[in-house]
Amino acid sequence: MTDKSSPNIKELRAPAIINKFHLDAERSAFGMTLTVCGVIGVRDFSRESIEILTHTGKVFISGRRLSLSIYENGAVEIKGRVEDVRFGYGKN
Amino acid sequence: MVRIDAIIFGYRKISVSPDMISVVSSRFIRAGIISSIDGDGKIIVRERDIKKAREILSGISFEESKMLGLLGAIKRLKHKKAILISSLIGAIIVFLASSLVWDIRIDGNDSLTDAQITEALSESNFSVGDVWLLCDRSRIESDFLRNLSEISWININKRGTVAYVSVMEKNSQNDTENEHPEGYANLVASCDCIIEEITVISGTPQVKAGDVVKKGDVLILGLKPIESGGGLCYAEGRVIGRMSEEVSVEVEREHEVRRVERKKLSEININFFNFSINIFKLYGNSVNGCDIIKNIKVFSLFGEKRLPFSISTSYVLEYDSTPESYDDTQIVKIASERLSVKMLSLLSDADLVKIKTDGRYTDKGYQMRSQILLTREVAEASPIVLN
Repeated sequence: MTDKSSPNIKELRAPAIINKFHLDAERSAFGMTLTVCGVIGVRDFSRESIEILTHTGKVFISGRRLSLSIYENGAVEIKGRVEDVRFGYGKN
Repeated sequence: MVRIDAIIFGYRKISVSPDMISVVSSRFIRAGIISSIDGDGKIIVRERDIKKAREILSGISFEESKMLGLLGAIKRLKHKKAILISSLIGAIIVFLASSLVWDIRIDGNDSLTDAQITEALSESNFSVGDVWLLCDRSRIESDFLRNLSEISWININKRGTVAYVSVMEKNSQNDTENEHPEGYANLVASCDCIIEEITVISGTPQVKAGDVVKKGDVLILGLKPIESGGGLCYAEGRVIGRMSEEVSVEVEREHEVRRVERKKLSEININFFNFSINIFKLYGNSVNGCDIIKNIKVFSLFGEKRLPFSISTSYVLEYDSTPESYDDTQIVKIASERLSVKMLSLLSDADLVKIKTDGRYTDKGYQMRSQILLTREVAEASPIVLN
């Protein structure tokens, strides 16, 4: 088996990810996918609302049929019919 | 939704009380355990993380399911070898059957029959029963066009196990390469010039070598000579004119140089047929002034047949701009290179007779200028409109 590849591809290695707050949203089947980085905790979870804690504040996500997936380095992914995203300063 | 690696390598579902889901999620985030919450409120954890998850969940009452996914199913059926072997044989039979060409359907043919096209395809080594993976469709299409000259275009599409062959026949009535143009026309000058040479094929010449003409002046009239019977015609001929042009470039001394500051791996996907499975994706703030490079690594069997899967990796190249200044030698060299490029494009359809170039330093940089004397064909057809 031969492979054709660019000689510049180095070995596959995940680079260091900086844990800054970042929110990325894109349309997906059955709604929207929200990816949030820099998460330190989940304060509340239900299929209609999720409250996420970050270093600097909170993010409230509400909608319908929401699901939560947790990844490494403080990244979480919320999928579903997201209707409202609100931000709050402070952890209280 | 369960991740693809969890389905393949196994996972377990953990049930906790609804008010504890957020506490468990927070603990998992801090410990770096990948998990997801399904529609029933159960937490899905990969089999390789389950030991660590149990330690983290100490003090919380939870229920753990047995191992699920492909590996879990294989472990449960490990003692029922007959089921495992027959499932594997069935999967192999389905895969092999779906990798053959079961039918060829042809469309786009008018004068040629389906049988003629099918026969030409078999001469190009493509017929019912061939293996899709071993068929090089572009080679089959080029062999087919060589074997059947009546076809001008062919495309073979695969949908499931059926090959859809679209063809387009050559239409000899549309071949107008050697036809004489219809109508009547004069040949006129396309620019101001001095006539160097004139050759008349049909029509009556209106200028001779040495005449000065302006743009639009008639060079060859679309009128047959009286000796040939007179009457209007489509003037044809070749008229070469001499003209002068000026080309100049200016190069600024101060400029910005872009250098690659950092190269980051941002995405890895495995592509299998038309499906793409994302293995790794880096989310983050995108930087202004960056390029994204995508490399696709394909695999082939014995260097000939391409396999239906590939790995694509994307890199983000971040640039940094720094101001720099050219010295005298560099600025002259760059101006000269840019002037050469402009002249090459000007002389692509002309012959150079004489050139005079000069340059001078300006406040901003350097200016280079060339006066060129050249010859080119200057006649263009101008239709005669009859009222």
